[in-house]
Amino acid sequence: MSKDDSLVDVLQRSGVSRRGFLKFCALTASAMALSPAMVPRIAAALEQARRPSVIWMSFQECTGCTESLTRSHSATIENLIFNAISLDYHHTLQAASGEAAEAAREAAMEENWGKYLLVVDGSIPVGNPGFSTIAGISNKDMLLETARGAAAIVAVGTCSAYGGLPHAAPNPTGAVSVADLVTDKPIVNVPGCPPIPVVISGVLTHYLTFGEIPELDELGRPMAFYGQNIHDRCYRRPFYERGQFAETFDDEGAKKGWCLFKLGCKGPVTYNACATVKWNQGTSFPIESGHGCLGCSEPDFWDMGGFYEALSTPLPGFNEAIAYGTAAGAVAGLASGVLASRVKKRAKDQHQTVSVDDLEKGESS
Amino acid sequence: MKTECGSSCSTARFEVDSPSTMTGNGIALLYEITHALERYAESGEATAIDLQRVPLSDQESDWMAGMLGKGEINATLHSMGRTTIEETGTSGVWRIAHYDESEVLLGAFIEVTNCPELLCTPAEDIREGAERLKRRLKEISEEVKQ
Repeated sequence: MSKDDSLVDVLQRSGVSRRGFLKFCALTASAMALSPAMVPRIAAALEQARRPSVIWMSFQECTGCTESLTRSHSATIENLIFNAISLDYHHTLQAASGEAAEAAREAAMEENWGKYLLVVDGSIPVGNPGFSTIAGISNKDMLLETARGAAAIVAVGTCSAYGGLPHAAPNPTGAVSVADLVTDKPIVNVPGCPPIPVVISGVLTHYLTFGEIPELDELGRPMAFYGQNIHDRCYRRPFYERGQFAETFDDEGAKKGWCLFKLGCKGPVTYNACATVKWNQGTSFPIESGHGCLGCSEPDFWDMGGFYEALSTPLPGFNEAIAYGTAAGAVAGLASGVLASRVKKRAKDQHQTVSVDDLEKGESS
Repeated sequence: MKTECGSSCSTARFEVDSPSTMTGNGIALLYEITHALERYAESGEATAIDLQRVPLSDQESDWMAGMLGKGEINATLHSMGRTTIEETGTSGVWRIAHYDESEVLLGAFIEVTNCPELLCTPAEDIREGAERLKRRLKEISEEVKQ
């Protein structure tokens, strides 16, 4: 397969008809979280697209990100996308290792200097270069060397995007993110532990289709997938609105599928597509299985104050507060001060800002 | 959602009361579809809605299907797996579902139009079809001459 082949050439050789191509474009738009109205533009762009060279580097990681991607559900579509890129180096997937593999990487870099896409999973230790090496080259040196010739970098997984688990306190290896070391290249962060497969392939497809990186939020994440928080798209949201919460994992509320906020769900502060795209062939996502969101696509999720700690102090039952509020006069004044400072402290511990509303709620109880 | 667990299952039966089975998105979608139909009637502008972007409970999907009703046309495209294209009982509202070769649902869309593009023959295919048929007829006429 030549590098000059377009995706359409690849499709036609696989016996895909023009209607099949339209189907592919509709699904690609969906995978990229673009409006179906974009389908004609995607079709036109894909007809022009040439196979980009992709170099994939794995540093301090658990291979969960590669596992996620290689098990993405739509075999046909993903295969076509992977046929449409030239994956020139991925030391977990390739047969060669050591010097032969590094020679392949160097050859791909030289041939496609300034044009290749660099994908990174895993964080980079800057404490002692010996903590993580490939063919005797430290992760930091390899990243900096390979990044120089890259057109853009995709940081796949929370480790490469924000440091992730290796960066968790006390960060023994001095783990940092790609963006901490590389500041002069466009970087797309695709966090998640692991990220949703179609989100990874969606970002790669966006680059393949349009030759540029998608629109990003302030944390470098593609808006299309990370533009809304889990809570806003959660099917349990109506329970939150009605104040119906599971208090333990086996109470009546849990059985009825009520909101998991009080059990530590991080949905309200987590931006990701789990609630709509879902996992395992679109089967479900953690909240649907009865467990709160861990916030794995957010920086420092591991240090956010405990997976089972509620985001903010649950107000002592809204109804009780109303019942006792008027009677408790002076005492309430004192208690609300304590509560307000607790909300502040907890928010500080969890790196969140406290809104005026939060404090007002604290005052009113 | 209601999932029955066998007696060996340690988790309790997971049951959600009826109001909660509606996310509220189903009714919003139906309003969106109504507006899209009006827009199509006025200006001929078609609309496509990606159902994967809207969280709907299973009951809500069924309810929506009931509200839209069953139509007269039901077509299947066989390319890279199956695709079903059916008009709902609400004329001009089509439901399109794409599956892969192993029958996994890859995407589902609502299209508001008089005819989804997938049903129409691509112009290039028509030209190629004409050429192929002409070639075949020529071959046959030559065979007859011999």
